[in-house]
Amino acid sequence: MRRAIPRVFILISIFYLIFAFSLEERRMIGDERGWDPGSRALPIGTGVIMLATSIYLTLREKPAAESPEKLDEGSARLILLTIALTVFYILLFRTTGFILSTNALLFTLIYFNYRKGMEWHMVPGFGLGFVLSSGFVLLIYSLGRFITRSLVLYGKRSDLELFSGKLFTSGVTVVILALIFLATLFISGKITRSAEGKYIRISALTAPAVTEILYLVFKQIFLVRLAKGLITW
Amino acid sequence: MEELANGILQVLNLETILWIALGEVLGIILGALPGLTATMGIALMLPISFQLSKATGMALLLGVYCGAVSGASIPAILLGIPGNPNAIATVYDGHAMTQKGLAGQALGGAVVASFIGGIASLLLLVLFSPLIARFTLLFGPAEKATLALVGLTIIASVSAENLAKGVLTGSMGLALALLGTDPFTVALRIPFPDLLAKTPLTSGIKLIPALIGLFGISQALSDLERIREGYLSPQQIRIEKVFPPLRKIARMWRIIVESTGIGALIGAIPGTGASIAVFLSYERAKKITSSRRSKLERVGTGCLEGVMAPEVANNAVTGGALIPALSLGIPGDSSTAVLLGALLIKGVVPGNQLFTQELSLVYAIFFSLFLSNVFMLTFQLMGVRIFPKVLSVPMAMLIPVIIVLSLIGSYAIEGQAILSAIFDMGVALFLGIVGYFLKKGGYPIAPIVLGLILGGMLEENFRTAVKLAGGDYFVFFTKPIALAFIVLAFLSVGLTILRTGRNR
Repeated sequence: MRRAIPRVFILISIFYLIFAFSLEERRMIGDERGWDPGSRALPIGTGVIMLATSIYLTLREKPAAESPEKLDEGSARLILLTIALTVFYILLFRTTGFILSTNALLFTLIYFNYRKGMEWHMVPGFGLGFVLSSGFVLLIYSLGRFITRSLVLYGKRSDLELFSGKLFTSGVTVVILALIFLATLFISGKITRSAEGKYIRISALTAPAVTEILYLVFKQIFLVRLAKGLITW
Repeated sequence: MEELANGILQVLNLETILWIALGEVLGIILGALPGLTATMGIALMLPISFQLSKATGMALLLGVYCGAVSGASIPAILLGIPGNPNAIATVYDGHAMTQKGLAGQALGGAVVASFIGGIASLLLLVLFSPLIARFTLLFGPAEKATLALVGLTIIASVSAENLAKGVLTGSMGLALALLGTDPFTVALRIPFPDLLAKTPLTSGIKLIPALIGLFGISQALSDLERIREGYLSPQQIRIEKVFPPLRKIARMWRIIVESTGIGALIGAIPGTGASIAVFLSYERAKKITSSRRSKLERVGTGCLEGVMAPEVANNAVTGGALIPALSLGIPGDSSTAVLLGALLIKGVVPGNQLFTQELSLVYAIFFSLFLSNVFMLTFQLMGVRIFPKVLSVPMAMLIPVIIVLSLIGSYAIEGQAILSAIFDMGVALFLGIVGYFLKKGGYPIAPIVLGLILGGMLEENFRTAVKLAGGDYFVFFTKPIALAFIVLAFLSVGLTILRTGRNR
């Protein structure tokens, strides 16, 4: 790792220098005499410093400097899984929508993190949990939307501004959904007793809860336009 | 006077107070969880602060900052593992006190010390930052360009064991800052312009996604390596007699005064950070208590003195680090770099302009920091038996939540334009992965942030200064303040090279 990084930086610096030299030289408006160092000056200077330091570091790092700490296979797999899933999450965010994609990412990561790795025999449990979790998130999302809409409608009809306020609607939604969540947690705890069941239960309940909280905070309170994707309601 | 009242009123409202309280609790929790840093906590809260008013947003971030710095003492005392580098020196005496059955007093002492350090450094901040900011009135483009250079070189030289690595990551930050559009000619400055001209890259790399990626996602990926170790749960530790005897604290006045001075001074030097301050104050307290005339318990034997000294110092860093950030626009440490980023995003320019045109905001920041310290004391003392339970939260659950929060936080900045927002998520992830590998290779990531923050300032002022001087590049050597900054930059680099050579 220690030797690879400066080598990668040499490539990046060369690419950056080519990019900097290829930039069109423009000077600021009103600089008829050409006193402005120009738009390429700093990028070229930065590229030269980057290249010089990365060459220096490549020459200086010895093979012995290689980190003795090797990452175990399980952790490496988890990190790769996290990166790969996050890339997919970003790519599919617009099409799938915030609710489903966020829940899927959270469930998958929590489940495999709890299992401390990925093995083939975990697939059936993962599949079952994924379906349950997706179902649960759809349920609490739909219920949350229903509560919010009902409160806003009631507020408008009865001229009570409080009921249509975003903080009030979000607060009531959180309280009701929290009660449902706790009830589900309690009941599912009675049903599932095996270790596998416990992992599925925790992951399948945590992911929807976090997804819904993020939805309430960013969409309902801060009015961020979260992609709807497959969920049209 | 009117500005002071305005500033206080901007904070003394229910909404802001609730945000500070929330920030404080979140900060304590994040600080208490080993591996999660104060910088990460502030970076994760940036998107939320962005949605609030300037004063309320800053108050929230300051709450997280104070909470995370003091919360780090909880695992240091109970488990012997510092929550983050701020509490490295607290481990020695703090954990020894737990083993002696004095965990309550150690936790209480750490909280009281944090409060004293925080308030004392706030006073220094109130006293010195306006004076330094007034000094910036003398700054023209040449001085500002060389000041940016000082900021870059100082942090590059002290944030790493290796100067070259700091310079490399600092220049990487600069390179990223220069992407987008030329500030003077509006000409595109992106690779493959034919292909990327219609992408959000034309607006450059935004600071918030970059900060979230570098401090949030990269840290979460690093923490994944430890997930197989399971989670840390303190054994059944009885926590009694939380508040340390006042008479004992009074006897420690010298340790408290010196630790405050060390913390605030080290904090005010860009790039140094709390980890240096806590060791210096701990060593100083060791010297004070080992003198024959001293009536205090000897530091190193598991006593309150050994907990108070580093805890006063690490919270004194908070106010100290804000002095150069608010008055010069140069952050004292990586946490204040993120705080500075939050100000810049809101269009607030640090320096004299901030202290003249937005004085009420400055007072609001001061008052928020005061309230944050008060809340920290109250919450930590009240929750001294509750917060340690945070250590039982499994990392398996926490890491995915942090990753998703980082992504959605990055998205929320451009929350109305979906494509730009998705691009920002990509930036956060990309820089998170880069930050993770850089950390693994022993490269510091704070200089990247400095490069990103100071890149614009450096370019604009460098080009303006040369243009105003009729194309004379020696203009930086003809102005006394600029020359002094250049000497300072060379000194910081030269001293680091000398120090590294001597260590070898």
